[in-house]
Order: sequence, then C-alpha cells, then structure tokens
Amino acid sequence: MSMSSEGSLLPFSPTLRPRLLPRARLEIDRLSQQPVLLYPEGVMMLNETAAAILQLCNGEHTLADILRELASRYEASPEQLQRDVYEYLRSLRDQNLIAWLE
Amino acid sequence: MRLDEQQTRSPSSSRTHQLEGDGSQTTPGQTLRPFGLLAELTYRCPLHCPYCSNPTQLLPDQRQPELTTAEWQRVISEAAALGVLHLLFSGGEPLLRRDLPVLLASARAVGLYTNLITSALGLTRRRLQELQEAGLDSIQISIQADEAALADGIAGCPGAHERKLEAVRLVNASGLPLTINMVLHRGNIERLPAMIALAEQLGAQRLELASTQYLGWAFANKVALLPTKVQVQQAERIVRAAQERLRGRMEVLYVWPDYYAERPKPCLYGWGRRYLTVTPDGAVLPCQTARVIPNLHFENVRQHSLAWIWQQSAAFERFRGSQWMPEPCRSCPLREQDFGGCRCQAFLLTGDAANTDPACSLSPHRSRLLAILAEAEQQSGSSSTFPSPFAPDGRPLLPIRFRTNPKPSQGE
Ligand code: SF4
Ligand code: SF4
Repeated sequence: MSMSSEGSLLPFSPTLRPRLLPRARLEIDRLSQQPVLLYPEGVMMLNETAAAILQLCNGEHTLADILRELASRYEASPEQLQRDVYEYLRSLRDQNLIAWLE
Repeated sequence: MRLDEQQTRSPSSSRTHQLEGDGSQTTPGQTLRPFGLLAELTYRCPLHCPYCSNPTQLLPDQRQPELTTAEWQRVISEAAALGVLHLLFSGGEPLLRRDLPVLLASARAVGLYTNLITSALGLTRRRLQELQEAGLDSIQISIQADEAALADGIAGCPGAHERKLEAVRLVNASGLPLTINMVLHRGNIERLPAMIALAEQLGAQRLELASTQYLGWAFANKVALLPTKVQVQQAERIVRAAQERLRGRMEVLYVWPDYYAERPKPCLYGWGRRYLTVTPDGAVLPCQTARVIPNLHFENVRQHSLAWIWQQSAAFERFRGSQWMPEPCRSCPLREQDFGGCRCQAFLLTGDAANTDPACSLSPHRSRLLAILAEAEQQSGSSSTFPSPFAPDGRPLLPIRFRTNPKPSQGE
C-alpha cells in the first residue's frame, strides 16, 4: 500500500473521532516492555508518541482533543504536531487499523 | 491448512517487524526473536484440497500421537516468553480439536494475538461463541471457488461450500474480524472476478488471493495446478483493479506465483528468523513444509524447550545468516532481502536444500523450473484454450492426487 505524502490531509476534520478497530489490539511487549500493536497480518512496535496517539483513539476523543492532549505532553510546534498526527492516522487508516466517527 | 498468510505479509509487516531491528547476517539464534508461531493442531481434515501444504507422507518416527492439551499449553507459554506475539491455529482442521477454546484462552492469558485458520467445517453457532468467549482475535476461512460444484470438487468434499457460506454468515453476525482465503490455481483462476465478487458479497474485511505455492500436496499436483503465464498476467490485472475499486472497503492481498517471477519470495523472511511452526506431534520447524528436507533432524517439544530448539538446535542454525549460501547467492546484494528463496522449494526442485531457489532467474538450476512450466503449458493445450483440471461440475479431468490424512495414532 503506498501512501501519497502530498497535502491530502484536508479531509481530516477536527471533529473526527478516531477509534482503533476491533481487529487490532494494543499490548505491552514482554521482551522490550514497549507498547506494540497487534493485528491479523502483523506487529507494529510503537514508540511513546505513537502509543499515546493510539490510546486516545477510542472513539470518544475528537481529533482536536487528541492534538490538544499531545501538545500538552510534547514539545512541538502545533503545525508539526498536526502534520505528524494526521500522517500517522492516515497510514493507520490505510492499513485498516482505525476508523472514525464524525 | 496452507498458510498463505505468512507469505503474503510483504511489504507492510516486513517493514513493521523491522522496526524491532533485525539481527545482522551472522546473528546466532540467541539474538533472533520469533514473532509468530504456527500451531498445527492436527493433520486431520475433512477436506482433500490437492494444494494442501501438509506433508504428503510421514516417516514412521513422525507418526507420533498429537500433543495433549497440557503439552500445547506449555508450548504456548514458552512461545510468549520467547517473544512470540502472534499465534496462528491451523492444521489440518484445527476445529477438530475439542480443546481449541482452552488453548485460545491460554494464548490470550499470556497476551498473544490469536488467529484461527480454518475450513470452517464444524463451525457451529455454539462453537463460534465458545471461541469468541475464549478470546479469539480473528478468523480466516478458506473458500475454494465462487460456485458450489466446482468448489466442492476442488476440496474433494460434497456440500463443503454451502457449509462454509453458512459459517461465514455466522462469523459476520458475531462481529469477529474475517479474512477469506482463496488459493488460486488453474482450476479456478479463470473464475477470479466471480470469486472476488463472492468475497465482497460475503462481507469479508480482507481477502487473500494466494497463488498456489508448489510445496506439499501442491508439488505432487503441480503440472495440473499451474496456471499458464497468460492466465497469471490476466489475474494480476484483475487483482490490481479490484484493489483499486475496493480500497477502504475490503483489503485485497495477493501472493504472486513465484514460478513466474524473476526473483524468489523471501520465504518467511528467512529460515529461523521470525517464525516457527509446531507440528501436531510436537516437532518444531522453521517453516511448515520443512520436514520434506531429508537429513535435517527437527527437535520435538516433548524432549526440549521451545527456546532451546529456537536458539540452539542444529536444524534452526542450518540456514541462518548467509554463510551456508552457495553462489550466486553468496555474493549477491539481495541475499539479505530474499535469503536465497525457499529451502523446501530448492530441495524439491534441485535435490539439495542449500541450493539457490530456482524461482530466481540466476539459479543454475532454473531449467528444472522452466521444464515444469513447459509441461504445464503443454498440458493446457493450445495457447488459446487453457482447460481447467476440473470440469464445471467439479469432476477432475486430469490426474490429481487429493490430499489424504496421514495416519498417526490419535492423541486425546
Ligand atoms: S485439505 Fe484444504 S482445508 Fe484441509 S488442511 Fe489442507 S488446505 Fe486446509
Ligand atoms: S542469487 Fe540468491 S540472493 Fe540473489 S536474487 Fe537470486 S536467490 Fe536472491
């Protein structure tokens, strides 16, 4: 699956409520003690930020909530943060791991 | 059950697995970590698919009773401690083991992601509920063709197709994530558009279209099952169009036919690197068909811990790294990407598992593979007609060896 990286982030509205699909599960990896996302066709070792984003993807928080929460935890410019989060969510959606409710 | 799944997992999961860091080329077993374990619970199966990856025969010392529930539970907890994250229950038909829910619960208790690879025969509403309550994460159901007569003919089991469709409906109602597996060969490849339509109509989240890999029973039937090059090219076009059209609705995975490729597939991402298989009688293999390779002794969980077998046993060390490679692989820049291809296929086609897989065009044994392709094309008749090895009513038209159950003495 290829991801185009050109500015097609527009369809994301701040009111979206992303949620992890039931086919995927967050766990803590026993060996590394790192968070890991498990799903039918693979395994994704997560860094701290990725895990923080996914924990917020429970269908209750809006995208705006998530960005606000992350901004309070990490030092990054709002633009940078927004770009990173959008890009990450889009790649998860392309892999059919998250969906969202308006 | 053939495990197309693992061969399909490029490129997305290869990338994600690599985030963990892969060992250098000479890394011994101690620093490698298995991510997935294929638990072949039984070789018994109600179906007789002629492409089944199960062994066509077992040596007398391989005909041991099936592992008991307690033995499997030990394997499962040892696997989790060793770093395994994915547990794939397969077979034969794993539903034939009454203790499947117990094993699922054990797997979930140690945090494993569980996947059931099944023909779905025997999947009643009650059984499904048991599995879900035990924590099953996802299910893969095999379907042989779009239409009952042909599908039943391929599976060698009248009535199987209808029962599968019924089971799929139950799964959909249960909300369990569903993958439909379809194995492609000359007997169904011309039906591909209708097969994709069936998967859509059945509401699968994922569809795996796996070209037959010519190992196990499929190797015995290769001349009858191989599609022609024209058929393969057309199938690829159809799959690509379906992937486009279904984006966001149903994920369509495609396993390419390596007999028609220039480079081999990176079989399970290398021998003893990321996956292991435990057979019904407890032998531990780097890959599910590895027992076909003679002169390799595969250790058994009844005698050793899973960790010792993974880290120390000679059979797992045999094809790790690249020291064992002959030319042209040894000096090839791609040797850490495809690992010289599939060891089982190298053995089946050249008589020596250490040779370059003839699916690579650089293999000095390439002509053996080309000869098989030529034979299949010839059997397919003139270039404009490609007769299927099955009549539309499912009757075999060519000599085909249907899978039979090996006959070990049964466990509990
Ligand atoms: S016969 Fe068919 S259903 Fe049974 S294990 Fe083999 S491939 Fe799977
Ligand atoms: S020569 Fe060996 S390593 Fe190189 S592409 Fe062929 S199989 Fe792969």
